[in-house]
Amino acid sequence: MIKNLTLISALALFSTTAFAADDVQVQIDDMKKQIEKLEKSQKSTKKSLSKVKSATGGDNIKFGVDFRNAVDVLEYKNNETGETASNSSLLSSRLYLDMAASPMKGLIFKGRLAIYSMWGAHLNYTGAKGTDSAGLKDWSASSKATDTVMRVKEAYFVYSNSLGEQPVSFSIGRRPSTNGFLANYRENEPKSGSPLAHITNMEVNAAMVKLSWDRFIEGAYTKFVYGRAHTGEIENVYGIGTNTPYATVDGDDKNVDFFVMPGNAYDDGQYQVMYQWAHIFNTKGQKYNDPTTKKAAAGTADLFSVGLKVDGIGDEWSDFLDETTVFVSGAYTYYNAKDGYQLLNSDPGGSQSGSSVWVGAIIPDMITENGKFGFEYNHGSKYWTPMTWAEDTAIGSKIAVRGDAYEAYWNFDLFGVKYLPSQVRYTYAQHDYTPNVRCAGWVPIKEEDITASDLRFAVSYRY
Amino acid sequence: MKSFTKVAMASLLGLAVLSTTAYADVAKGQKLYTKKLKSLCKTSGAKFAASYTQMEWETAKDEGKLTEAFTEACPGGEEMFKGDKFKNKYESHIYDFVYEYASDSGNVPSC
Repeated sequence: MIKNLTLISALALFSTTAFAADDVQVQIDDMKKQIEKLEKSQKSTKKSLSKVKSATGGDNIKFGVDFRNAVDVLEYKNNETGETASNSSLLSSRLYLDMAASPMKGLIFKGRLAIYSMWGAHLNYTGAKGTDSAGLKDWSASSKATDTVMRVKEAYFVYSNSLGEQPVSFSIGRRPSTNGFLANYRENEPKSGSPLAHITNMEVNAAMVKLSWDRFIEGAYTKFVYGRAHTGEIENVYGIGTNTPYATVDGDDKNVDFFVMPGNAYDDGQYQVMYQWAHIFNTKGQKYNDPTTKKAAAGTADLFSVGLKVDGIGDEWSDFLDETTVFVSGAYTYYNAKDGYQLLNSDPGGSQSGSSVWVGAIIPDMITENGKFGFEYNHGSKYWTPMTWAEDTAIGSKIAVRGDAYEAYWNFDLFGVKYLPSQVRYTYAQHDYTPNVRCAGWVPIKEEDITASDLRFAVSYRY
Repeated sequence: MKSFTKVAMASLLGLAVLSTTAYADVAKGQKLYTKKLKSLCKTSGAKFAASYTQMEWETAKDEGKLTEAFTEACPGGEEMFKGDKFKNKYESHIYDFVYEYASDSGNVPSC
């Protein structure tokens, strides 16, 4: 009996082992097949990667596109004379080709090539008589062999490192100096440029050093920027009639350099306080009572601004308040003429000062997923003269208004597609003094009663 | 002119509300990081996002392990990452932000 049991057990063990061996073999075979598959897949991946590398190995830059088409409806009225002017459809296209690269930790390059054209405009058109160039229109200029014009809006690199515990960044080039702090909302741009748009909104070439104070105060930093806004008179570049090309020429047309110090006093993501001081050397005015000398180096200008932005009201009181942004900004400009010269019709060697406030609120539109309504108000005094040439308002800078400006806009995504940011914007300006369209120190300022409005519809593709 | 304005306005309004799709938003994610997480993580958004490569962030998302990945990158925010509010309201935006500025993205949050 015991023998039988032993035999049965032995047979059972043998058959189980045999089955187990078969099972292991099946598993091994499966694994072999999987390994073969993986090897094939890896070969294919390697092949694809080689193709990608050979196709993109030399690409050291990434591109993005911001393409906007807009129609502006413009109205002007001189309430003293009754004169009016208008444009029922100023059609424009603006293409930004954005570039970015980060070849190593701490080093970035950014650039922006720009085309901003009126539909059907003449090439190099300024609007003045006689400026139409050889019959070339915007719809033929890219189809005919002409010149080598390509405009650069931004091109700069930033190198960031630390000196001991002090984080330091250095940058040089054509800086991101347009649509700065607070102006990005009215431009329907997610991020603002570098400076405070209340006093400076223009394309500049400059060198910058940034010192971060974040380890002392949350979000705090200061930037020190030095650049040149105007090259004074120089000998002609081909040396015609002279052998000293590019040599400076003595006279009133001097280099206009600037020193700008923007910074964050505090930024915790909800509350942000920014400040800026800008000093302009040789700012342009004229000799006293001599309009023929306009654009002469006539003195200096100092511009100051402090702004507060609150991004989200309270702490999760409601979704509406979380998505609401409010801001207030104050600014002051001081133009100081040198002896014998005047700025903003000052006395010879005198000065003129102006001030401005800017407030705004941006709230959810409650119609679309990410849409926002924005409301802004600006007030500027008689001699208020910021440097906001790059502000994209067809009737002229509303921030530079000497009087009052009201603005309402609706930023939304067309068809609900986030790559199609769009805008309806209405800007109304009441000029109590000479409109500050040119932000120029030689333009005399007198009382006026002019109104201007701009209704814009804009549709963009941004990716 | 007035009729043109009205037509343009009506068209845009119609097109705008024709379809509304909820999208995560890189800029929103960056803003949320500064506002809600920077003080907890005690590091910049750039460093937080650069904790992983794009593929690693993507894998964590696909495998439902974003909370763990976020926590590893920012231990101080663990409690917040686990909260329902974060998951429902902020996670997708923060993910879009970190993916955009991941270590191998070649992107940097600001100049």
